[in-house]
Amino acid sequence: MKNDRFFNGILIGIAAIIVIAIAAFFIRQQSNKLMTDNSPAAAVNNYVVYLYQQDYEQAYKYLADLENKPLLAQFRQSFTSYNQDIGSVSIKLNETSQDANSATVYLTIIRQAGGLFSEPYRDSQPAQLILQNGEWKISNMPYPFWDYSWYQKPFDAQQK
Amino acid sequence: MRAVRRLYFYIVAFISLQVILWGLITLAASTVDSPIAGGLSNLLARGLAQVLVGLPFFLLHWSVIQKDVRQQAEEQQTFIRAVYGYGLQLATLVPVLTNLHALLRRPLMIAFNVFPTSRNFLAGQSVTDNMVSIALNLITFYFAYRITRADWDAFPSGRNLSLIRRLYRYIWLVIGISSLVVGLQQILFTIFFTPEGIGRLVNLKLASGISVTLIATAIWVITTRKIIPSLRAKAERDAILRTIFLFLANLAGLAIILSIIGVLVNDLLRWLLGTPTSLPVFINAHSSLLAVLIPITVIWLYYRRNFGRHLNTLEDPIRSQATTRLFTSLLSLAGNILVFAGVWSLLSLAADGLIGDNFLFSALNQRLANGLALLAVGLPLWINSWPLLQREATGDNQLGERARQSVVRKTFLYLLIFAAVVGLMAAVGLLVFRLINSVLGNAMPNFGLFVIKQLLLSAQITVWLLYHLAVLRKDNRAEKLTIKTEQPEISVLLLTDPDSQAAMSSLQAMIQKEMPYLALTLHTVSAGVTTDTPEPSSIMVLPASSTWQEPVFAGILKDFSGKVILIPLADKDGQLVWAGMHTQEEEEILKSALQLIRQAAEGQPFKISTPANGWAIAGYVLAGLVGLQVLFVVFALLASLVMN
Repeated sequence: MKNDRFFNGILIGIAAIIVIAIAAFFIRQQSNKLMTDNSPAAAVNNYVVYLYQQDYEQAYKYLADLENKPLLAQFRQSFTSYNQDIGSVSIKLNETSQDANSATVYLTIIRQAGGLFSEPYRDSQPAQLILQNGEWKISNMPYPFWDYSWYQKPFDAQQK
Repeated sequence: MRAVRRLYFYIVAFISLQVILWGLITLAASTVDSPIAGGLSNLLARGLAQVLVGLPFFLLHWSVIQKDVRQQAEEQQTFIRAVYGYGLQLATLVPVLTNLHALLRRPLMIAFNVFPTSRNFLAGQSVTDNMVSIALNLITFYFAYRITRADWDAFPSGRNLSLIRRLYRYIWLVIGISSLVVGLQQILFTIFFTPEGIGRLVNLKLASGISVTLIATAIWVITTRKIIPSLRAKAERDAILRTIFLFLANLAGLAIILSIIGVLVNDLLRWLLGTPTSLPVFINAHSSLLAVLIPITVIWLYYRRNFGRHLNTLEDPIRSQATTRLFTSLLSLAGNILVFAGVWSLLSLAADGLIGDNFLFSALNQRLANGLALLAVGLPLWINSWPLLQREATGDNQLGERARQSVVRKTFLYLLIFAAVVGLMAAVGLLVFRLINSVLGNAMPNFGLFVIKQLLLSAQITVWLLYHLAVLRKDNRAEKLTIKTEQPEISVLLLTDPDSQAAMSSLQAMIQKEMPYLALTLHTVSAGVTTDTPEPSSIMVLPASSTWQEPVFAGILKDFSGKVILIPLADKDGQLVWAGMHTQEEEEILKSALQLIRQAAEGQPFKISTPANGWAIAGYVLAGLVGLQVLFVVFALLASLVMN
């Protein structure tokens, strides 16, 4: 058993893979940087970065001030719920189309599939923004960076 | 009756011990790390109830078991007790390992900055919960370990203990290998997949992968280091369980590897045929598959080597050859089907391209890639397996004869012929149906293309059918030729006393029919056997009762050095009773004797198959049907993986 080179080689290979993976992880880790310019893309980028940093107060500031805007507590609760897991997705910002008061940032959401053979899959979805007091604010984002219960009329109001 | 009683006591002892164990875990965890407010009383009530109910039942049933063991030492090596001991070890070690995984993952998830809502596995448990669960499960494991150790001390060569221990080890080996592949896949994924944009897609996989890999490697190494030295014992080396494990590990490994290669070749061909992509994008899009392919290939190579060694060291060459034949036949069958599908895919594409009027050129590269990928996987598989089977079956020796007569080969050929005949009927039937419809004025659109495609399909099936029919005919011809040309190297002497003469004459007729190449002589004692003393290499067959009824037989046997086969025929007076044998009809006994004579003539080790039982046959048929369905489902899954 001790002289089984193949078996020992597999064990060495496993150790090497673990070391390489950890090294690759830290080398490749992109610092999710905040953008300083006042553009629709910067607003979306900063919103997402603050969410990953769990700085919900800062992220909340990027929500548009429209009717039925969620409270900060409701906003925070959405991202601490296991139903809204942003930990297994990545988001890539593509081009932006904008006019004077509104803009659309096209995004690619990369989601992790569950199965052993399944590859991550990509959706192209837009984020909608409006210009409020000279700053770009988000009025809609794709799941899981957005909770569809936000900006909805309360249930009682709907009944009336 | 005793077995039923034993089963009852051990099942109750197992369940009640599990109830106590989980009750104690609840109590200990709620005491050490108590929740706030009303939840504590609920937890305490649940834990206490489990312990208070489980304990008396366990003590009562365990005391009866202990009493039985004290009264009868044989109880320590019963099958059910062995299952209880090793089953309890398994049932306690699995929670130990899942809790260990949760413990290991926690710091890794913090180190790799995994988002909190992604840390969902055993998320409601704290470190204390995991530690308590591990400690109490380990104590119960030690209880089970002590039981089996005491049983081994009392019966060092206990057959049941040995059987269940072997099963226990191979269960752990399967757990270890499958977890290792999953763990390594998660780690390798993080190497192959280049993160894009903002997010933490790989963080959780890396944390989980490292934790699973560390635990799985430990399981695999410990189990392998138990199994390999145990192979010095013949019983372990030749165990059917080891053959089954290595067979399935090799087959499953190869099936997964080829399926993944099929997908990769397909997508690579699409890229080469014009689908726009680049190497980094291609690798990113296939990172999961690449991450499975590497560990599974290495582990498959390791067990392929072990499978080869295992087959070479088997004492029974027939079993070794039969296992190899079955394995190669399954590979050949898969290769055959894939090549058929690949050829048909290309023929159909050619027909569409040449005749079809609404042919979509954009779909060309996809269909071409599909067909070529099927051939790229199927052709090497077929080329590397079918010629081996053919070479074995066309051999002019015993191995060749055995291969031609084997159930596996006959099933393989008849299955392909059956599929081809049914497929041909369906293809031609549909063509005729459409033709008649067309003649009657109900022509379908693209009718010309349909006719050409059905004709091509029918032609392809016909080629497959004719080829396999030719192989079957060749086998049959070679079988007859072997019987005619076989040299009578082996002489068989049937000795009998006048009382058993009728039965021995029947046996003589059976041998002449089944093995006409043997030199066969039948002598009754009164005919004077001393003039025809058999050669040392020959086989002597005689009724068992003769050996003590007629002293002359004892004299012959004393000087005889060949194989002796005794036939346990019933005596006239019913004085003889054969211990260890179930009652058999004379015809069945003679068939068993014929089987032994064949084995002796072919130099095989003696092995008597148990007589067929109606219910057993029904069971085999049902199991076969279920197995066939499972195979079809697995094949469909793999095929869909390749086709998509």
